[in-house]
Amino acid sequence: MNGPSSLGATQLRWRCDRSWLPFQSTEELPEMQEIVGQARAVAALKFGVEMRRDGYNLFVLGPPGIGKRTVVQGCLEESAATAAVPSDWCYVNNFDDPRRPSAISLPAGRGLQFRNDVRQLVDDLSTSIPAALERAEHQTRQKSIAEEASERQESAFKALAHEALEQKVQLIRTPGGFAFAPMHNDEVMSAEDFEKLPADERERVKKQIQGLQEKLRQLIETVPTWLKETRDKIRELDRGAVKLAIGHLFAQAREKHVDLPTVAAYFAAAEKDILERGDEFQPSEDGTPSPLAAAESRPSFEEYEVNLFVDNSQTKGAPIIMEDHPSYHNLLGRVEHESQLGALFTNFSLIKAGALHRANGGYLVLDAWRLLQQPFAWDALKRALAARSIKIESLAEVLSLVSTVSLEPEPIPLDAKVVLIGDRMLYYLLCAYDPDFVQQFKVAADFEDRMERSAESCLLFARFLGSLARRNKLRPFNQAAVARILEYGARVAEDAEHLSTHVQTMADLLVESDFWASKDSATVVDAPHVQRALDMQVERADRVRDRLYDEIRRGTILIDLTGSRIGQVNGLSVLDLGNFRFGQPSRITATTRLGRGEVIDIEREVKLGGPTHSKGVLILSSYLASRYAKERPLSLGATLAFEQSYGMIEGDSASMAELCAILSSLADVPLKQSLAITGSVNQFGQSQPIGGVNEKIEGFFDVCRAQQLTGEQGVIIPRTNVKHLMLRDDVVAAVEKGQFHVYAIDSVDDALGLLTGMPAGEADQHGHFPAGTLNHRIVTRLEELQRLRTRFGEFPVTQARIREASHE
Amino acid sequence: MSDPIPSSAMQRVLVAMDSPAALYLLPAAADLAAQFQAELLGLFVENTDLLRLSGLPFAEEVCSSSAVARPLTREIVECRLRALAEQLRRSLAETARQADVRWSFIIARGTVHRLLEESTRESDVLLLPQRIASSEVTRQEPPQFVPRSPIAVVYDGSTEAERALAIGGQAAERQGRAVLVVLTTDVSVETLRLALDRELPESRVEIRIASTRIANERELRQVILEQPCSLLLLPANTPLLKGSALARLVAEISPLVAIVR
Repeated sequence: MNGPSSLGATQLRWRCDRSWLPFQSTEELPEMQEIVGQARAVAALKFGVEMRRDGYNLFVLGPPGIGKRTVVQGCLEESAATAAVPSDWCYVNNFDDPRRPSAISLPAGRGLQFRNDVRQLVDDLSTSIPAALERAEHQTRQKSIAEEASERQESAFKALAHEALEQKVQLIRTPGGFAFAPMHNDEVMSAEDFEKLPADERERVKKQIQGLQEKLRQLIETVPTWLKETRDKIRELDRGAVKLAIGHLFAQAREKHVDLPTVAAYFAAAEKDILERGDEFQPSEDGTPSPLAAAESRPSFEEYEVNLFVDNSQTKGAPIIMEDHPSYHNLLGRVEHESQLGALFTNFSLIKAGALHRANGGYLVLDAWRLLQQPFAWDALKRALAARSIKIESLAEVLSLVSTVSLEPEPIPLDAKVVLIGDRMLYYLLCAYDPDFVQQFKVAADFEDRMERSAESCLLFARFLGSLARRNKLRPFNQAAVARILEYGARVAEDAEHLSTHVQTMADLLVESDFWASKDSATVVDAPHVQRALDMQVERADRVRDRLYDEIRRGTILIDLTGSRIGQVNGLSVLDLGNFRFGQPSRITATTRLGRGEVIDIEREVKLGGPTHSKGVLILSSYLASRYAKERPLSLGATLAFEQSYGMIEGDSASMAELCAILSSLADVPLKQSLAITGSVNQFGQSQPIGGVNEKIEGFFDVCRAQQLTGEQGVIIPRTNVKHLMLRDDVVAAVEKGQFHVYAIDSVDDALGLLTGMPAGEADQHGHFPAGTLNHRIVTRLEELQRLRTRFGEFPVTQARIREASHE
Repeated sequence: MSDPIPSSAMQRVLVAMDSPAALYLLPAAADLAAQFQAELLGLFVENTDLLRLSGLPFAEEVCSSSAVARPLTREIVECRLRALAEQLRRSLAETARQADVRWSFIIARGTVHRLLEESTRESDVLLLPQRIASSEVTRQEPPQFVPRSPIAVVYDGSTEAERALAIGGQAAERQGRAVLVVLTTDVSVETLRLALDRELPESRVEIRIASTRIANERELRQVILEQPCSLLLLPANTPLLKGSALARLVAEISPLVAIVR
C-alpha cells in the first residue's frame, strides 16, 4: 500500500498516442460496416438469426443510443438477403361458414395475380349473371312456370267450385278463407229454408258440405307444396342459366392457377356457391344495390373477391418489419367494420394484416418497452409464438366484453423471428418475472457500453468514426481530431483504460464538430473543432452549474477554501441534469459529545438520505467502534450534516469525508479547508472507489479557480479511482503548475494526514498509538468520554427509571 | 240533350272493395280522381250470401292460410266485416289525403253484381278489384302494370263509350300515354273518328285502334292480353259484359278495369 501522494499530470488524463493512429485523416481509412466493440453482441445476434428453432427469438439489450437497432438491422439485412421470399397470403370467403374466412397461401407474387384474376372474374360475373337472368327467353320461361302454377291452382279451385255447384252448393269467399253454402233458387239457402228441409235432407246437406270442406282443406294444404315446386322449378331454371353464363369464365380463371390446388379448390367452391344461389342474383327492381345488402341474405359479387392480405410481390429476400407502434391490433391484425346507416358490418375483405403477418417468413423487430406499454400486446405476442400461428381476434372478444357475432379468420401459421430491443433492466425483470419470456427469447445479445483501450482498438474506433462520418456525409476528421474524440470516448466511459461504445454520443459529436469546422470553412475537421463542439455542449447545458458556483463565490452557499476548521470538511457530490453532469462541493460538518456510540445522520433522520448514504454512515460508525473502542464501550455521540442541502442525498461517496469530520471533531484537530475529499470507506477504514470522480475534481477546481487558486487546494480521491481519471486540460495544466493537487489515498489515515497535517499514527502490537499522533488524540478523547460516562453517563437513565417507578 | 255536364267531366270515381287485396286500386283511382277533380268514392260490399250462410247452423269457414275449419256465426262475420270496412275506410282516407281529393266511403249490403250495377248508375267511373269475381287464393301481389302502356277504351258507339273515350283521352294526354281503342264489331272506324272529333277535338293524344274487332268478353280479354295496357275503360251497359262476363274479365286481365257511365 502506498502513502498519500499528489498525482502527476500524466496520471490525471490519458492522452491518445498519435502513433496509434497512422493516418492523416479518416478519408484514408477503409469502410467499416459493423459497430465497434460489440463482437459479443454481434455473435449472439448472428447465432439467434441463423438458429431456426422454436424459442430462439432474440432480446437485444443495452443502454439507449448504443447502436442496437443499427446493428440488428445490418445483421438481419445480411441474413434476409439470401433467404427465400415468403408466401403471399389471401383471405377468401368461406362459403360453408362465412364467419370463418379461409386463408390461402400462394407463392410470392402469385397472390397479386390471383387477386387480379378474381377481380376480373367477378367483374365478368357481375355482368354475365344478371344478363343471363334478364334475357327475354329466360324471363318468358320464368313467367310461363309461374302462370302454369297459377293456372294449376285456379283450375283446382274452379274444379272444386264446379263440383260443389253440381251438388247445389256454392263456394263463397269469407274474410278469412272459404265456405260452402247450400243453394236454393240460385241463392244461398237461408236458415229458415234450411230448417224447413226434412231431417234426413238436412243431414245429407251437412255431410255433402263436410265432404266438400274436406276436399277444400286438402286442396289448401297442397298449395304450399305446389308453390315450392314452382319455386324449385324457377330456381332450377335460374341455375341452368347461371351455369351456362359462368362456366367458361371459371374455366379461364382456373386455367391460370392450375398448379395451385388451394386456388383450384377456391374456384370450385365459389362456382358451386354461385350455382346454388343463382336465383338470388336477380337484380333489384330499380337496379340499384340495397344499402343494407350486407344485412340481407342477398348475395353480393364482393363475396367472391380476394383479400390480398400479405403481398410479397415486391419483397426481396425475407421481410424485415420494424413496428414502431406495437399495439395489439398492429401486431396481430384486425377485423375492421364498415358503417352502413348506423349499423356495423364486416366480412373477410375487411381483415387487415398485422406486423406478425407481414414479418411471417422473416423478422419482426420491436421495441420491448413500447411493446410492454401496449395493453395485451405482450401476451398476444407470446401466445402467437408459442402456438406458432397468428389468430386474429378483437380485444373485445379476447376480454369477453362483447359477444356479437364477428369473424373468426382461419389462423395463419407463424414462422417469424422476433427481435426485441430494450435496456438491461427490462431484460432482467422479464427473466425474473415472466417464465414464458425465457422460453421464447432464448438468445440475449448484450451490447457493451465500453471497450478495452489499446492501439488496435483505437485504430478500429478511428475506422468506425471515419465510416460514421462518411455515412453522415461529414468532412473527414484528421488525426488530432480523432485522437481528441478517442479521449472524449474515454471520458464518457469514465475510465482512462476504456473507450465508450455509445454510438449516438459519438455520432452527435462528429456532427457538431463538422458544424464548427464548417464555420471555419475547414475542409477537414481538426481537434479544435472537436473541442469547440464539446465546450459548446457544456455551455448549452451549464446554466444550473453557473448559478451554483456563483452562489458559492458570493458566499451564499458556504464553502471555505482556505484555513482550517474542526469538524468541517469539503465533500463532493455530482449533480446529474440528464444530459450534463457536474461536481458540486458541499460542506459536511460533524459534532461529537458524550454518548453511547451512536452517530446521528441528520439527512437520514429527516428522510433526505437514501439507503446507500445511510449504509455509509453505519459503516463509519462500525469503523469508529471497532478501531477505537474494541474493548470498552464507545462513549461517543456524533451528529453529521450536509450543510445547506435541501434535497435527497444518495450514495456513500461522502462517507470518507464524514468520517474525517467526526474524527476531527473528536480529536479537536482542524481540517484544511483548501482540500475536498471524496470516496467511500469500509469497516476497516480503507478507501473505496466512487463514481463521477472527474466531475467532482473539476467541480472543486472550478470553485477554487473562481476565488483564485492558492497552490494549496486540491482533491483527495481513492487510489482505486486513479485509472478513471480523464480530467479537463485546464485542471491538468493547473496541476502541472502546482496550482492544484489531486491526492490518491488508500485509507482514512492517509486522508487525515493530508487534511490535518498530522501523522495519523499506527497502533503498536498492544493497540497503542504513538503520542502526538492524531489517532492517539482520538483514543485519549474517547477514554475521557468513557470516564465521564462512568461518572455521569447512567445518571439520567437511573433518574428516569425512578420517575417511571413512582408513577406506577 | 238534357245533360249539361261535358262528356269528359267526371263527378265520381268509385272503387269497389271487398277485401284488403283491393287496396292496390286506391292509388290509381286517386290519381284519376285528382286529374278530373272528381270525388273518390269507396264502396264496401257486405256480401249477403255470406251473411245468409253464417245463419246456417253448420256454417264453417276453411281458413285459406291454415286450412283449418272454424265455425262461422253471424256475429263473427259481422264483426269481421266491420273491422275490414274500417281498415279500408282508413286506407281510402289516407290515399285521398295524399292525392288531395274529396272522398267518401259507403258500406252497402247485397250481392256483388247487383251492387255493381246500381253503383255504376250513380258514378262516372267504377274501378273493380280482381278478387270480387275470383276464387283465387294464392295470388298475394297486385297485378303488375306495364309502365307507359296505353289506356284501353272499348268503344261501342254508345253515349257511355263516348264518355269513356273522352275520359281516357284526357287521362292519356296528361300522363303522356296513348289510347288504344277496341272497337266492337258493330261500330265503324268512321263512327269512331266522328266521336273523336267531338270528344277530343284539340287533343294531340295518340290514338291506336286495335286490329281485332270484338263481339264478346272472350275476344276483349284476348285483345287485352296481347296488347298490355294500364287501364281499361268499359262503357256501362255494354252488351259485352252481361251476367258474369264482367267478373270473369276483371279476374283474368292485369289492367285496372273501370266502368264509365
